[in-house]
Amino acid sequence: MATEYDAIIIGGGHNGLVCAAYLAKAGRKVLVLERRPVLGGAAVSEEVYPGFTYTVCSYVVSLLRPYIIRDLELVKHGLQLTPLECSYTPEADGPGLCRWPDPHRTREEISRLSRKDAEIYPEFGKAMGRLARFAKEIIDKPAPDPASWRPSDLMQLLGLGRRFRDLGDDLGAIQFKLSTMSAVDFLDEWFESDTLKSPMSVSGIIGTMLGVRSPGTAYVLLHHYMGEIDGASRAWAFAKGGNGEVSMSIARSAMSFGAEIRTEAPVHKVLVKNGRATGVVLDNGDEIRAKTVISSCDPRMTFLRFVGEEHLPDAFATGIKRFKFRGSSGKVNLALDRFPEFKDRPGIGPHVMGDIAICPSIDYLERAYDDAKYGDFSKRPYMNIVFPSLLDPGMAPEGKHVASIFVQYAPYHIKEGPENWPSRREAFGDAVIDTLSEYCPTLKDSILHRQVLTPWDLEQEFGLAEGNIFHGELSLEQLLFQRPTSGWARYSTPVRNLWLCGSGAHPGGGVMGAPGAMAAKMMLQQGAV
Amino acid sequence: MLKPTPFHERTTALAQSWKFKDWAGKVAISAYDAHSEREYFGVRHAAGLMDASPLYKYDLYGPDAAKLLSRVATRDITRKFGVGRVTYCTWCDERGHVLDDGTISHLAPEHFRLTSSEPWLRWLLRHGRRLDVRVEDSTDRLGCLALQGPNSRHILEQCVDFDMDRMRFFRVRKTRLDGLDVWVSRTGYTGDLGFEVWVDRADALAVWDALMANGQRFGITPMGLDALDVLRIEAGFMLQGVDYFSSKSCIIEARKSTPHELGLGQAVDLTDRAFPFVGQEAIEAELKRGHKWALVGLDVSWPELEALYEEYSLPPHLAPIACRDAVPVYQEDGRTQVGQATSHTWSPLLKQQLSLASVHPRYAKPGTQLKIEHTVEYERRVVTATVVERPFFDPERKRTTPGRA
Amino acid sequence: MGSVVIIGGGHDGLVAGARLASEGHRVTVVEARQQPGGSAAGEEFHPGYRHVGIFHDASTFSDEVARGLGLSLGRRALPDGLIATKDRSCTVGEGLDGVDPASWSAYRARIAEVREYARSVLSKAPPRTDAEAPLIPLAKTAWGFRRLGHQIMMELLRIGPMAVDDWLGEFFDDSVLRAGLALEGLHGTWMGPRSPTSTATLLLLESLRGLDVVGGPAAVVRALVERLESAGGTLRCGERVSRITVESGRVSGVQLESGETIAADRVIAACDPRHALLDLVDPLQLPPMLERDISDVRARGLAAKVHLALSGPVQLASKPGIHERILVAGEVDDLERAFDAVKYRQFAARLPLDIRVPTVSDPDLAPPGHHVLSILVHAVPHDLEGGWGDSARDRLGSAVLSTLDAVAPGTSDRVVGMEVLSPADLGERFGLPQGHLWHGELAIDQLFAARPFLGTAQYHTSIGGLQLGSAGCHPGGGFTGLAGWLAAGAS
Repeated sequence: MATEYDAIIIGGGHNGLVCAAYLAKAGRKVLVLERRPVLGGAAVSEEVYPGFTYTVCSYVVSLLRPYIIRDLELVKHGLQLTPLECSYTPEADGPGLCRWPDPHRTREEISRLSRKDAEIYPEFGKAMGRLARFAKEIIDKPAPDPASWRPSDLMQLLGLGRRFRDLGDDLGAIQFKLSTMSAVDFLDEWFESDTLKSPMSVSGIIGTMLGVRSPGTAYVLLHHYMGEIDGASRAWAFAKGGNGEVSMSIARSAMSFGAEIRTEAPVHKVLVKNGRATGVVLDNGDEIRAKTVISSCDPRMTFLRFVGEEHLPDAFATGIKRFKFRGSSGKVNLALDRFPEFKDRPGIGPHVMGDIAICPSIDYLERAYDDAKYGDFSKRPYMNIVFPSLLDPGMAPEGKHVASIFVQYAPYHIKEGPENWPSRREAFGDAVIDTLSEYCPTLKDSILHRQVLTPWDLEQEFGLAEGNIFHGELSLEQLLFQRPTSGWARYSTPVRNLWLCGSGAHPGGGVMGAPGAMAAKMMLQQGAV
Repeated sequence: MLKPTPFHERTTALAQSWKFKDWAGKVAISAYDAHSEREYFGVRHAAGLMDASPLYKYDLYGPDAAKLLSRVATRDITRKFGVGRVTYCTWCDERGHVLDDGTISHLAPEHFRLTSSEPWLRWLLRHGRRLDVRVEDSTDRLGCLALQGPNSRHILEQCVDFDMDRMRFFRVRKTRLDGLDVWVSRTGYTGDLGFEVWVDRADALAVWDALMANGQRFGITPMGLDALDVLRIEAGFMLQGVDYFSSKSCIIEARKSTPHELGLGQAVDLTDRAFPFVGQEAIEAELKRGHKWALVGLDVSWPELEALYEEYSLPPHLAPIACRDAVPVYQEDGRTQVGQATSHTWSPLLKQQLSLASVHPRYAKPGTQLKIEHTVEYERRVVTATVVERPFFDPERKRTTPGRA
Repeated sequence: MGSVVIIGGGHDGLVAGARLASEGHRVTVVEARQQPGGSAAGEEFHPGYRHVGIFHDASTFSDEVARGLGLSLGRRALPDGLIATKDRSCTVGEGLDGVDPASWSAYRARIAEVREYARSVLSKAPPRTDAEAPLIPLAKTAWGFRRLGHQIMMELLRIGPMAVDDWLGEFFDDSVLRAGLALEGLHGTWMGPRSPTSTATLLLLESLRGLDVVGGPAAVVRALVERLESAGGTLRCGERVSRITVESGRVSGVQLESGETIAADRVIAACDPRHALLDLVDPLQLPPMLERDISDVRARGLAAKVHLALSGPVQLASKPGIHERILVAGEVDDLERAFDAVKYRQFAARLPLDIRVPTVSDPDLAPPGHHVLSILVHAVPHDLEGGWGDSARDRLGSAVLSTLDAVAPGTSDRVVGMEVLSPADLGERFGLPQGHLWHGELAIDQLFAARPFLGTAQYHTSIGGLQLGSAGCHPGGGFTGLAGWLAAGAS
């Protein structure tokens, strides 16, 4: 066909769809090409086992930008978010810890561990909430560029500097520490209870090959206080229908603005002529032309596979090749015959209608990390669990349940080599089930089906390089003006008319939609599409 | 989830109104009846009995207990603060901003008790780290009943082992009430003759019953927080979280207050100290430059209020209880804002409309005429408010000791 | 000119004292031990055998300080480092063996790019960063950074937060080489080679490092004492300060254990800052934020020191001959596993050893033909589970010997005497809480303007006249003398 599109977006993950929706809303002719038969990338829901819907990879929503929900009218297109009630951290023997939206209840729970910690907990939340507002500045704007001489960039840096000074000395010092310390060291300055610090620290290592005692893991604590669901900060939410419904609501919005979406349309290469992207060629040989090509895939796939090193400047190619992925997570989804009650807080109650974290102590998390450092999955892993069926009964038949278990660590680079992950898959799944069974004795007997996704599977099936869920580690040197590589952190690439709009761009991964939205805005602003 | 106080069984059984409230995570009674007026008059004319157990209480023991308290609070209690004395004070952060206010009691040699509206265990432990002091959180261990009003002394006389006529203002002593060990202090939050009884949780109900039984013929009335709010405003007492905010809960600097801004300069001991208190340097600097705010009492012009409502053909609408909606306070021109009034009440006793306000110090002189915002039929209007001395109500009986020791 | 008391006669205290005395102040340096120098003092650890200090060399001792004090110090190049395992070794330094020269040049070139700028920053007091801080010094620092040029600046921002193993991996495939290079940069940190930001601390060390001083730290100490006393300063050894007296928010002097008081309007704590503030200042006079901030400083000692008196030279299986500087760190995984153990309050059976043989350049330290081995051991936790009693110390000694025997068989047979200083021993001997020889971890949140913590990097505390001037301050990084120099110069 001779149709030329204004923009082709490679990848129908949530960022690609957000980008498509914004461009279509601005009147552009947009085509989204998705390799898989379903949309969503890693924000996808599938009926893997009959009657049971798994939110296959990502499973909670927190940082989905409110402006995106409003601009794209996602609620009109089916988005329904339910806040998660609480965070439950069971202990192997003991009532564990539950943190509730109700501050009194939370205070009670923490008091059992330490009265001092219970007292300072609200103050901690206040400080974090204040700093989260500072951090949102950074997430909702393009990355600041310290090397740039452009007046607008200098203004942005000055503005950031001024906002930092506005924090005052006390909060400024806390912000500084948050940006440089390890999660545990940072929390040690506030709290004494290991059982409390453990689940708090763990957000710092999600999707990384770092431990909770590794410098640079504290800043992620802020994410927990930046969630904006229903205006309440620090809340996670579950999307009815699973995260696939988040993607589908965005897709519907995009289509309502006129975007065209094709699934089972894997892209083979980006067509580059004289340093300019002119379109794509699919695996089946079809060529599709466009004025602009936008990739929502990770930087490695985008630049080293779709484009090819020969079209890239040396320094850029080096930077992309150095961009670290090192996936460290796995996922286990279960179809369950009945609810696997927790030994120490039996029953289906509000305590299990939030997220459940298996991380009884900091040493436990460190030992899990140690296993991964030397090329093996954690024998006793960290797990973050949600039971989607408790929040959306439609995900499973009546009386039955699904469990969504995020697991760390499962290093892509196991010592046998990543391609041997399939032979280790079941052992990995067993380690997960065995560990969880210590807390839920009836678990094993209730399993009807189990889906185990290793980093290898995440790479093969979902196109995530090395199984890294964030399209590249969120470590200090791979953030902001260095994401994906320094000098190219504003969504444009050295190839003219080729743009990046996925999690490999600022501000990074998670179901945020921010890279997709900001890339679209940048392109529209610059008249690039 | 709210927790019960030691008196829960008694108070909730009597609260026909089902008006409960969250006070520091405990169940507190707002009013026992549909309206709190009877409870209010119960205090001013007879004696009101209120469960004040949600107050935070800390017992400090050891040779350095007085030092620790004098270090963190603005008063120096290492000198001239013998056993049996009670003092009201504030404590501040290092920048001189008030964290909370409360009382310190000297119960026995090397034994002190601190009361507060917010929890301070971690903070006390931190400051006491290298001192010879043991801090115990007695908040849940102790019940506290406030018995306030002209007949309060008579009631206690019936059941304590002590000549209550000799109990002086701001004193505390250990005694037995109906055979049970209690501490009785002549303190309170109503600006009237009154006492507080501190009892171990296990004996709480018995103490309540004893007071109620002995108080019947003196008109004892269980009293809730709604009545208390009216009483404390009449007494000119500020309330943390309403008239000022603890520095630790403030997100912005502008919200913080110093002791002098709250009119608590007399609770600050600056001279002849062996060591400075936390925040002293900042407060001394503030004294040199002058403070930004002053806490004042306002007498809102009743005639003007009547006339205002008359414009709308309405009778004046009196809030049934004290009101905590902050409203702007202006200069006489009614336009230039000079502060904000944060607590308001109609005083049934004085027949005046009263407010507590924070204004710029040059408007704080008693007699100054200001304007306060008042909304009628959705329209924002202003009426005259005159700065007056606090307390608004200050009966002699509050302080006098009939049989001086 | 007022009177100054300096608490601690370690090298920083001596530098501060010498500087102030030469400027005409009345200076008294009070040292608790019988001899000055602190951990830089050389001692006879076994009859007939001496070492030259806890730190191996004085290669980080600042030229600027030496010049400023008019010290005449003999200089010499650091001996080449021999990174050894059982089977193989490589040499790095002036000479190169077993290392690809091109990779080595690229590595050294990267260090050279930042060294000049880093040294200029490290030898000055950091700019203030508080809300009332003047903007010019901050702007100057930022400007100096930008003047490095876009490429170098971006490169520094990229590599600073990296794990040192990742960064070294960009130059060298050899895991043994990487471990050996990483080891020296880990001293004073609570990190392993795979910890993020460990590149920054390696760069810190490499930037501070210059030529060694002949005679090592002990020689520097001797020169400093002479300078102090010839300028009219007083050094009092064997006396311990028990109190820093504070009145109305200002220092008024110190009190000694003997009861004697020395009046002063300026006190410089050249001892560990936590000891100074938390032990020596009356808690009722210590500002709460200062107490909180200094208590939050992390200083988890990971270093132990072992001195061996040997009847003959160390014979490395992988490289015969006499070597002065030997690094035994195994492969990167071994080094990382050693650090893992620390997290659980243990130490590994194979320990990372940073070895110097001072008798190679100074044979008089031992009887003829005999040798002294000075071993700085990393990854030994101060908070060992079960505590540092005699049996734990023995276990540590055995672990060190067996690690050594594995690369140099028969070494333990030649041991005539051995001194093992656990982190607890180091702490007790040198007045270091948690046995931290650097008075505070080298970590990016505790360096430069944040050393020991934000607001106090200019050597002043919120107590008038009370200054901090030790390795716990900027620039950190071991034996430099800069903290004492800059504290003395801070008005």
